Amino acid sequence: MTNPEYPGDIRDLWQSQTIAPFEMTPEERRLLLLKQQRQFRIFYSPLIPIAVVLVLATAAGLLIHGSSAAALDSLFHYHSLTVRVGLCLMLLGEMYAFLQRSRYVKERKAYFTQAEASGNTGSLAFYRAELQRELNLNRIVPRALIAILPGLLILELGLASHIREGRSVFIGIFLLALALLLALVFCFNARSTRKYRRKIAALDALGRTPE
Amino acid sequence: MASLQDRPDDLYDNAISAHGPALSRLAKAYEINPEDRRDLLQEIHLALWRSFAAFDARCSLRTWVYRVAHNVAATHVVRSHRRKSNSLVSLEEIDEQGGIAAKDDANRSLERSEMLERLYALIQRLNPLDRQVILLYLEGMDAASIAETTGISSGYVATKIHRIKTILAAHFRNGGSHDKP
Repeated sequence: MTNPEYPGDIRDLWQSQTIAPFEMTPEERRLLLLKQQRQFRIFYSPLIPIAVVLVLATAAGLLIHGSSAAALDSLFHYHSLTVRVGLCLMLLGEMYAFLQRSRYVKERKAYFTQAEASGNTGSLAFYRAELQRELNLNRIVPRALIAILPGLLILELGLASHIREGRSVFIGIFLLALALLLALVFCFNARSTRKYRRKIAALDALGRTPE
Repeated sequence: MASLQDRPDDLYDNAISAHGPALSRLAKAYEINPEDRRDLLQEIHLALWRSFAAFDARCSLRTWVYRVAHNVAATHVVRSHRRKSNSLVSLEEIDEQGGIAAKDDANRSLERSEMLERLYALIQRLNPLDRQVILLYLEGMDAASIAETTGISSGYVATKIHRIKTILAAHFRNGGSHDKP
């Protein structure tokens, strides 16, 4: 083959190269999507581990407490003020967390629409803004935890007050689970934050942003 | 142009039948390792399929496909750049450095596959922005379309294209020897 008459022939050469076709079946797409969504849920939803801890701690309390029918009755029918206040605070905290999350989604959508309208979505600046947005999302996690924790603590203390025997075990299990949860959440959150900071730094170092 | 009434699945099928080969070329230009390339292609296809839920036909299907694909690929480059810690450069730096090494065969006629290999080697050294511009250029887009796809100004794209032409001419006119104009 003779050398091409640059650069037009190079473009022809590029476009005419044969590459094995790639196809994804709907099932493959669905599985990959599920995998990505699972990762997203694990890393970004503080509500899931909190709910798990709450269920485990409450179940442990009920197991300890379960032998007494009267005690169970008092737990479910005569809620103390502490339990009610705790429950209300926790629900408010969860609402705050959901609001923060939905505000993030709404702002992201508005930003994307605006960027799309100005034909800016392919730029590195847009990609960098997306990374910054993901980084900001990470900041929601500790805020959500702070909002939910007081209610959760008061609720569990209220539940513990109903337990006559094994109260200290119940509180101990709860606090241990909570400590583990906080350690895990903050560990994942810090790792994720570092990841986005590194990405942004790498992008800043790589990109020659125009204008 | 695709109709707004089209379902996302139909739009996806149309996009793949029209631009599937270009996406494969793009993935190969971003990732030389076949396994990683397959992962990248899967990510691109999934992102594309999901993106059509928000496609409002304000731009052409081709522009949309390239935008999505390059966004996914840019993420991939940053990730793999961190992992492999290879250094990426701009078109200007490639031009200043005298391009990729090809001293031994300056007078030899390049075979088609060798030229492509060399082209891939050149592209894979570039930073994401320049890589995006050169790939769109090679896919046959003009400056205005590249500007629309990338979101950068057409003046800036024109400068980049001029640089690309110079580099391609220097690399392939004489079998890889780099004579600056």
